[in-house]
Amino acid sequence: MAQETSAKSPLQSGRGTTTIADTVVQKVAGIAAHEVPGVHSLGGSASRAFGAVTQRVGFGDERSQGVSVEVGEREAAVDVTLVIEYGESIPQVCDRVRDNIVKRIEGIVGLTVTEVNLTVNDLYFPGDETPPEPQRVS
Amino acid sequence: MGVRASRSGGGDAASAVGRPPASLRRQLEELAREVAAATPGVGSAACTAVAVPGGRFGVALRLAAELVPLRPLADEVRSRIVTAAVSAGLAEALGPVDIAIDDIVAPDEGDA
Repeated sequence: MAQETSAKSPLQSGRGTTTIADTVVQKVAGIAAHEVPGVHSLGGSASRAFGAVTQRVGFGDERSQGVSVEVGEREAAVDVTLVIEYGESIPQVCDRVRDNIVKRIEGIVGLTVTEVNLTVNDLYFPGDETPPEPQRVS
Repeated sequence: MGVRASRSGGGDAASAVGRPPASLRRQLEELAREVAAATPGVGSAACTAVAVPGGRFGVALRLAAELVPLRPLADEVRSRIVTAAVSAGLAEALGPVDIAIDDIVAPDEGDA
């Protein structure tokens, strides 16, 4: 699996450079995956649990959770871990996720996407959420 | 009147409150930040200007951008800064404009 890096992809111009942080590519990929109907959430169970804690204390971002990228000067490779809603066609949802990630990264960041590797690691069943505990004090 | 105010010569707003006028570096920094923040597609902007060889000041901008094509956005910001510097008579002092896009502001992020 590709490693997350903090390196940047520079683009030299006549009057200065433009750099786009790898975390931006990561976030765009995460937003693109979320946009596809049938995707419930991103990340494995450990990463979702850890993400819930870090988001509660103000760190981390749900949009880039479960996404890792490898970014070069002109190209990017993306790995995404998904939870898909039960009843959806997994191959179709994966195809749509792959297409949307390629479209968004190429359109927004201007990088060519060489590969999008998807891992479906869980299914979401409606009603899976644990109901909130009733308040003891009104 | 204080020593600083009398040294600065008076007449402008800065000397009226006892501060020396902003340096060329500070003026460029302010101009670049304001122009970047006003560019459509930019969520927020931070800026520093630093002296570079040749008597100019290089501007380094860090942006949080909206979901728009990022490289054309950076080119647009750079071009607006150059145009604004020319209008403000600071073109001679403006060096390279380096732009780093550090974050994306997602459409639902401002709602919280």
